[in-house]
Amino acid sequence: MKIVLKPEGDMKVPGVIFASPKLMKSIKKGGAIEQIKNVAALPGIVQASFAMPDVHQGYGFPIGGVAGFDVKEGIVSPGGIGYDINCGVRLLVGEVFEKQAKKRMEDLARRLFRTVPAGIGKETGVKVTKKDFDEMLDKGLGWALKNGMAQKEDLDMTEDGGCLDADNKMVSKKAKERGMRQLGTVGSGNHFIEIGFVDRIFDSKIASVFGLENGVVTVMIHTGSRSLGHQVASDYIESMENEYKFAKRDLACAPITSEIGKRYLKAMGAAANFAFVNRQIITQKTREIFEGMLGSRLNLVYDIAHNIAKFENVNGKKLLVHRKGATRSFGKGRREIPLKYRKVGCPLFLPGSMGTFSYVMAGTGEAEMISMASCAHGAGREIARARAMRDISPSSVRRNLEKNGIILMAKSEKSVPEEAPEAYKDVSEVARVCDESGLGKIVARIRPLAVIKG
Amino acid sequence: MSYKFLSHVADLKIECKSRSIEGIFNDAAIALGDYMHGRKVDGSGIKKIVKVSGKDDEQRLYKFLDEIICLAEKGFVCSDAETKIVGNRVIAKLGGRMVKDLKQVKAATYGGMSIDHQKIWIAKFVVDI
Repeated sequence: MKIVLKPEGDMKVPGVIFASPKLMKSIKKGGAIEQIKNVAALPGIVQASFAMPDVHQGYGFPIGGVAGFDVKEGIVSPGGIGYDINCGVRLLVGEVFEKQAKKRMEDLARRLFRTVPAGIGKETGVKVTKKDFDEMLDKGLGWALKNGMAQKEDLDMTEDGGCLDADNKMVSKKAKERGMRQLGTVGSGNHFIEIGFVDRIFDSKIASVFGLENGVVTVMIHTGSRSLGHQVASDYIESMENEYKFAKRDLACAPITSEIGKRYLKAMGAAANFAFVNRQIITQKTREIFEGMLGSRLNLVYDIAHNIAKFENVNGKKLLVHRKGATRSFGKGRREIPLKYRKVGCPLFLPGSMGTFSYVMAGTGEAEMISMASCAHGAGREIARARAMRDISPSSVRRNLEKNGIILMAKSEKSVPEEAPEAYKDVSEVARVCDESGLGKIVARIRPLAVIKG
Repeated sequence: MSYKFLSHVADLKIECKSRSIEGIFNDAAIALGDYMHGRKVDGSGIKKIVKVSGKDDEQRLYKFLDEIICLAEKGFVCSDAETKIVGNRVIAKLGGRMVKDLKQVKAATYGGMSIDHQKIWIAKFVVDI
């Protein structure tokens, strides 16, 4: 399940791809392998340029790529994190079961669809002053707690307590303006809110610790830092370009110790905090609807980022680990994870595409040894968007979903074919490879009931 | 005026061909508008001006695309463009419409960006979806 690309040319370390033969067929078709090799040539890279089982072509770095850099000799690259800084997933679990919730699923989905802004340009219902906004960028979920938008438990169950080291002054006025209009919105493309239920338990002990049982209703929220994150990435790519020369522009980077590098990391932290709060606001709206319509609370299982850079201790060495389309996989005993999960490992999620299963996994100590504590983040695309637009009709996607009892509420019918299940890799295969490789342990499977998209 | 959508697994890759570099910018704006609208944008009653500067054609195109994306966040899609490039400055007059429920384009990228000039100008670029 592990393919090693030996160093050649400018590569300083090998490339390491975690994939089955079936997944490799798809990986070889695109440009991901060349990108894995390009990353392996970056200054200060340590150990390997890793690729998760859902890897596919990105820009500069592949999506599903992981790379750790020495903090003194290495670089930080916005492309290694992604434009959608702290795009991530949170999973909530209800106190109601599938049979009961299904009776009201259409109404529930419609209410969510009407309440949570989704789609491009959809503006927030959350009005904040500029001063509040700046404070939110610096304090993340701490700000949300102070302003009655979060419970203490939400901070405990969010990666890094929902707040990274940040400085809002490192974020441009343009980025803030774009972000202020979008706080509390889902966005479009592959972002979604999905109501589902646990339809299979693979590890009952860990599932119990995570609060999951057969038939219980779940809500998964996938979104990130919206246009604020995109603008931060654009701003700093331009700054780095103006200061340094690159063989490949989409690998724009700066030394971690440089002024630009340090400013970018603070801005990245601010954008990450925006994303944590964004998911939290959507959570609060979803909670209100669930309580009102089903009398059920929604408890946060975990919130995890899949586009981020973190300073981490890897085999006794401090590195800046870039994860782009990859999640952190921390096993038992890590003090960075919530106390209640330290005996079993941290939750992480593999959302499938619209209409397919999603998987709840647990982090492993093995991942810390073999993949810089990283795991896949989802199914990964299989078919190009242009081909999906050409070959798949919105009505056929809807018909297939309806056949499987799944309600779809989408703001833009035009995007539906691009997000069709057949446009993505088989998420069950990705989960299986993660499990058998040791990147993460399968705990439970979730079947969708309703999907809300922009 | 000529553009087409090329194959790209995760994002949107566009190729523009034109007799002039200005024509490339015009086509890029219209191509993005057509993608976001899901079909050819008809109507050019709403006018917008975009001004960017950059040290080379790639950087100018990147920043220009970023401005088009920002306008789309406010609902504007372009059906018509007239670009002038003077030194390192791009000034474009755009005509288009305000449309609801556009498909999202998140950001311009340098991924796979190339601008070549032999007999005609050919530009390829990827935008993040």
